[in-house]
Amino acid sequence: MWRFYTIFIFLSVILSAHKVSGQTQNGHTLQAQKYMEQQDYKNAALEYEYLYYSAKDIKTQNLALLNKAQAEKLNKQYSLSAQTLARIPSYSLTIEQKDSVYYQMLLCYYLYNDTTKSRELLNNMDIVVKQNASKQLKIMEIISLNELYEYKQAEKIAQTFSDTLYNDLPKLKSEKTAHNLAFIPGLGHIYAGYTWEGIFAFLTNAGVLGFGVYQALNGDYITAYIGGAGILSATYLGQQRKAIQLTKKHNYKKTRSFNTKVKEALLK
Amino acid sequence: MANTTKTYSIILSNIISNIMKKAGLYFSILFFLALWTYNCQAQNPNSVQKEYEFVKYLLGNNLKSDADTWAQRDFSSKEYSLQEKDSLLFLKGWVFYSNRELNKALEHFDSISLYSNLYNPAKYLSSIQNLYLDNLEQAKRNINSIEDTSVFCKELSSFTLSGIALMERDYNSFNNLKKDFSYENIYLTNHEKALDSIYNRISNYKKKSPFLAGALSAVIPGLGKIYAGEIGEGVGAFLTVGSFAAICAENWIHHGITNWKTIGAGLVSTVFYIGNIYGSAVSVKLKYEEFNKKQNVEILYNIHIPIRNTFRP
Repeated sequence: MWRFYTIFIFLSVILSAHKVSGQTQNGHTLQAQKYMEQQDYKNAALEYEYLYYSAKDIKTQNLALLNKAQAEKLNKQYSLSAQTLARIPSYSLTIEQKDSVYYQMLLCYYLYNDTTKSRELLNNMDIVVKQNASKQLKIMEIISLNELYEYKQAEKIAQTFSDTLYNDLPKLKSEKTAHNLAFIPGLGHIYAGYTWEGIFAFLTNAGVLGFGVYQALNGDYITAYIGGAGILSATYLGQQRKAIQLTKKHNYKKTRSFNTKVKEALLK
Repeated sequence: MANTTKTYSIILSNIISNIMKKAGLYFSILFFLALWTYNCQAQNPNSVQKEYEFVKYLLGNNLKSDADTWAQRDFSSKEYSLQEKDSLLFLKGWVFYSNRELNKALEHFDSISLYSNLYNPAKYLSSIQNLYLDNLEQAKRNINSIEDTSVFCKELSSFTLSGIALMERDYNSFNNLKKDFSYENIYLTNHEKALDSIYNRISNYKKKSPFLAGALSAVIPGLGKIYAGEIGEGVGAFLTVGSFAAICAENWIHHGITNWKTIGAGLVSTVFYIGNIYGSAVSVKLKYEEFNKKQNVEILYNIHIPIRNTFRP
C-alpha cells in the first residue's frame, strides 16, 4: 500500500511541475502573440526575450529570438532587430535557417543604412549558404553590394536573374580629377556637372584677383595683399573643396538612381 | 528508564503507523496539493523574485530597450505584499536610472516605504538623481534622512555630503566631513582620494579678471584672449584687427580720410577691435564657468560610482 502512495506522490509532483512549466512557457507565448496582434511590438519583444531567457533548449531559444527580431523589425527598430538576429548561434541552424537569418540581417542593415555591418556579414557568410542561396537572399546580397558600390560582385550574382541589369552601370566621376581641374576656378564644378556654379566660382575669383591686381598697380600694396590675395586664398581654396563636394554629390545621385533601378527590377 | 522510553517509542510508532495506514490516501492527496501549490508559486511567471532575476538578466546583457519596456509595465492590478511592491519600485527605479530617465527614477525611488529594507539604498540613489537634476538641497536632505548607523553607511553618507559641499564650494563643510574618510574601504578609497585632489585643484585655481582681459585687448588686440588661455583666438584676433587697421592706414596715407576704402577698412577694424575687447572679458568668464562645470562633473562621477556599485540589484 505504501509503495503505491509513494509512487502516486512522486508521479503527481513530477507531472504537475512539468505541466506548470509548460503552462508558463505557453502563457508567455500566448501573451507575445496577443501583443503582436495588438501591434504592441515592444511588449511582444519583451515576452519573446522572456521565452528565450526561460527556454530549456536551443531550438526554443532560436525561435524566440527570431520572433523577437520580427517584432523589433515591425517596430522599425532595425538596429535592435539585427542585433537580436546576431545572437542566434550559427552552428545551431540548418542551411535553410541560416539563409533566412542572413536575409533578415542584411535587410535590417540596409534599412538602417549600416554599410559596415553589411560588408562584415557579406564577407563572413557561410560558403555553403552563399553557394545555395535562396532568391530572396540573392536579391538582398545584390542590393547590399550595390550600396557598397561593389558592382562587379553584385553583377555576378545578378546574372542568375538577368544579363542586362548591369549593362548601364553609372559613370562615376573622379574626385581627384575634379580637384586638379579646379586649378582653374570653376572648371572642377563644370566637370562635376554644375556649369552655372562653375561660372559663378570663376567670376568671383576673377573679381577678387582683379581687385588685388588693380590695388597693386595703384601702389596700395597692403590693400592688394590683404584685401586681394587674402580673400582670393579663401575663395580659391574654397572652390577647390566645393568641386570635390559637388563630384561626391554627382556620384551619390548617379549610384542612388542606379541602385533604385536595380532594386525595382529585382523586386518586380 | 531505557526500557520505558523504548516502550513509549514502540507505542507511538504503532499509533502513527495506524493513522498513516487509515489516512494514507488523504495524506497523499494533501501532500500532493501542498507540493502542487509550492510548485505553482515557484513557477508563477509574475512572482517578484522571477521578475527581479529577469530584469537583472536584461540589464546585465545590455538589453536596455527591453528593460525599459518592462519598467513601463503597470503592476498595480496584481496583488503584491508591501515588500514585493517595494522591490518592484526599486527595480523600476534602477531601470529608469540605468536608462538615464532621471525624473522617473526619482519618482520610483522616492515611493519606497519607510519600513522597507530598500529604503536606505533608495535614498542614496534618489540623492544621485537629484544631483544630476541639480537639486543639491534635496540630495542633502535625502542623505541626512538615512538613519543607518553602520560604519560603512556613516562613511558613505559623509563622503556623499562632502562631495555635495565641494560642488557648492563650501570648503569648511568639506573639510569637516572629510574627517570621516577612512581611506580604507574598498568601495570608497579611490573616490575619497579623488575628492581630495579635486578640492586641491579648485582651491588652488587662480581666478582671472575679466576687466584685466578687456584692458589687455584694448592695448594690444588679442592679448586679453591669450591672458584668458585662448592663444589661437588671441593670435587670430590680432591678425584680423591688425590687417584691417593696416589697410585703413595705407588708404588714409595714399587717398585721405574720406576715401571709401579708408572708411570701410576703418569701420571693420573698429568693429573687430571693440568686439575683441568684449570677447576677451567674456572669454575669462566662460573659461571659469567651464572649469567649474568640469570639476562638478568629476565630483558627481566620484560620488555616483560607490553608490551605484554598493546598491546595484
